[in-house]
Amino acid sequence: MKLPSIAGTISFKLSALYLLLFLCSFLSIGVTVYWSTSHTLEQQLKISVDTEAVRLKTEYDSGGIAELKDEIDEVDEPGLHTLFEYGVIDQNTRLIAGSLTDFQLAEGWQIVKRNPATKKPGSKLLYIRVMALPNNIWLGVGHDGGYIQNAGEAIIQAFIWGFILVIFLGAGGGLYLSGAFLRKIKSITTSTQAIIAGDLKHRLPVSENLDELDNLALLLNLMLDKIGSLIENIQQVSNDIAHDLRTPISHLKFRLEDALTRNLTTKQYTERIAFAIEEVDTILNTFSAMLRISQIESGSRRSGFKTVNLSEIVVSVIDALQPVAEEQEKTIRADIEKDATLSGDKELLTQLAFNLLDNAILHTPRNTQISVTLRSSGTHTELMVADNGPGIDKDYRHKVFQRFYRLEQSRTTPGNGLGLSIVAAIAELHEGTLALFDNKPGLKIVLSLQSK
Amino acid sequence: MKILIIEDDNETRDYLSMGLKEAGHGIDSAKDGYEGLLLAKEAKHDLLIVDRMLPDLDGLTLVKTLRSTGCHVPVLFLTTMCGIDDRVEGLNAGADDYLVKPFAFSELSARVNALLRRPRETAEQKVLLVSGLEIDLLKRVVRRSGQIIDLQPTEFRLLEYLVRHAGQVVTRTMLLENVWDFHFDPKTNIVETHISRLRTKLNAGNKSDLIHTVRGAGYMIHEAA
Repeated sequence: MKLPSIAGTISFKLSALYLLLFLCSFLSIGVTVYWSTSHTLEQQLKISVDTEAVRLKTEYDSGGIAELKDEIDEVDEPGLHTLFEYGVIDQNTRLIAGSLTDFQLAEGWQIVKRNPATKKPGSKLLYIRVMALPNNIWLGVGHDGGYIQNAGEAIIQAFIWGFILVIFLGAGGGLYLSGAFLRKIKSITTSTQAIIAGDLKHRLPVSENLDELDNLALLLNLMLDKIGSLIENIQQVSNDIAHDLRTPISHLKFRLEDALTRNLTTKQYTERIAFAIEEVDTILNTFSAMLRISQIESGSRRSGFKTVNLSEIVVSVIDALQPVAEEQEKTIRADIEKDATLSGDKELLTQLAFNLLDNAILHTPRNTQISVTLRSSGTHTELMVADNGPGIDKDYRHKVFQRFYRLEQSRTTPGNGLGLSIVAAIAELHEGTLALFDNKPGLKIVLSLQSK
Repeated sequence: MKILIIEDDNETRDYLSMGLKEAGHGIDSAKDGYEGLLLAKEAKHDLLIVDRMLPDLDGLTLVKTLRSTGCHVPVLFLTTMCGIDDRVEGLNAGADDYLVKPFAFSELSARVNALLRRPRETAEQKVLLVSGLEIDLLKRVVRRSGQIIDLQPTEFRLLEYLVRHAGQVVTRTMLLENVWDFHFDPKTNIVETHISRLRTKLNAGNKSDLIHTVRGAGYMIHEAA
């Protein structure tokens, strides 16, 4: 599998999106700051110019042109530092007082580009308030507005630098994050490829800080553990099948070859053929049992669950096996609670009870006492099969439910090692639990099922 | 008796028809479901042997279709060994008996005979009489040569089944299914143990054996009174 380039990673795309959003908001803040700053500055300037113009108009109104001229001369003295510039012009465009001339004879605000030749350098814009005074006299009060432009430019410049910084930091951060993300993904990919290639023991790397990816990796590792044990189980089972079927098949082959090479009587041939059929039946039985287990394990029978009376089932199984036990000089003691019902499959529960009891009869010596107990509470039903036979060593107890597993002591008794595996599969289908205990002496198997 | 075998596997079909011909039956056979259904609809057969898995039209549908047209000829259903649900499905579809493959011919033969003789026992009998044995089904009392024999309920059911099928071979599996309702193969031979107990009780007082063992097949009680 090919990894995406950095630009293609999710973290990069996310960082890029965040960066874009951030830049957009940054830009809108810039525009707002620029606009409101220059607007406020302009307003302040206009207010102060207006106030000055009105003051001069009052001077004119009270003292006429002479008073106005005096006032202007006084404040516009070259040595005196004032920010205002003044100009009073009559109808023939003759400058009567002050120095400001470059305005139109029209009431209102005028913004003019500063004539570079004027005495006050450094500013480019002039805001002029033009006021018509009686007797066709025009008063112009100007103020340098260059600083407003300068402030605006400074704001724009600051934002441009900020913009550049944000882009660098954002993109760099994004790249760094994507890089870290990609490195992690890459190590997971490498591990996965190793697992695909057949190294089922390989696990995904998990770092110490346990972020979301690590949690995911931990989960995947757990899944791999589970799959691993399932595969091991399957391998074990197929090995067992191969091994377990080889023995009867080689017996069969040996007998058939032997029969073929000898000159036998018809009766002897019949015997050999009967033996061969018996062997084949053993093999077929093993197959049937295997198929039955896998069909039970598939869980499809669950859909056919009905209310069944486990008490009746257990009683019928004891009834069927009682003579067998007696024949082998073993006794069965039954303590069955009546009408223990649960939701299940009657046929399979019968087989379960049969196998448990049959097993107890088959694998115990003469004079063994076997007890079958069925107890039912409101929530649980417990079926207990206990004997006072030799029991099973603690270390081997958990193994008896494995397919084909046979204890050393029972190798000589007939069986295929699947009886208790079927029991386990049926118990699992009914969501029941099976446990083996030391009966001191002997073995006690307890099946616990949910009552209905 | 005329038997129709509907089975797609050539080997099984030939094996069945050869064996049943030797047993004196007339055999028709069909390779697939449609051919089988057409032949079955001619209604000239006493028994159908139908495989569960058939090309075109499967055994279940075939039996269902046949039953819906009012045809009541006995049907023996053949299923594969992994299909533990097939039995219930087959019986629900209207089959009268089922057999799991692979089976011994003796097993099939016993089932075929049981199915062919079925109509005779439909009349409700209260007392079964066979070879000096008297079974009162209502009082659940058994007498041999007038003497009451005390039987356990299971022994009674076992004897009743054998007597109802008197003159026919009854296999171990048939007994497990019908007397004990066990639909799996118990390794322990409970049938033999129970039969031997029943024999001991029936033969008490040096009487001759009523239940005969048919080697490689099963058990039989002779019909002759």
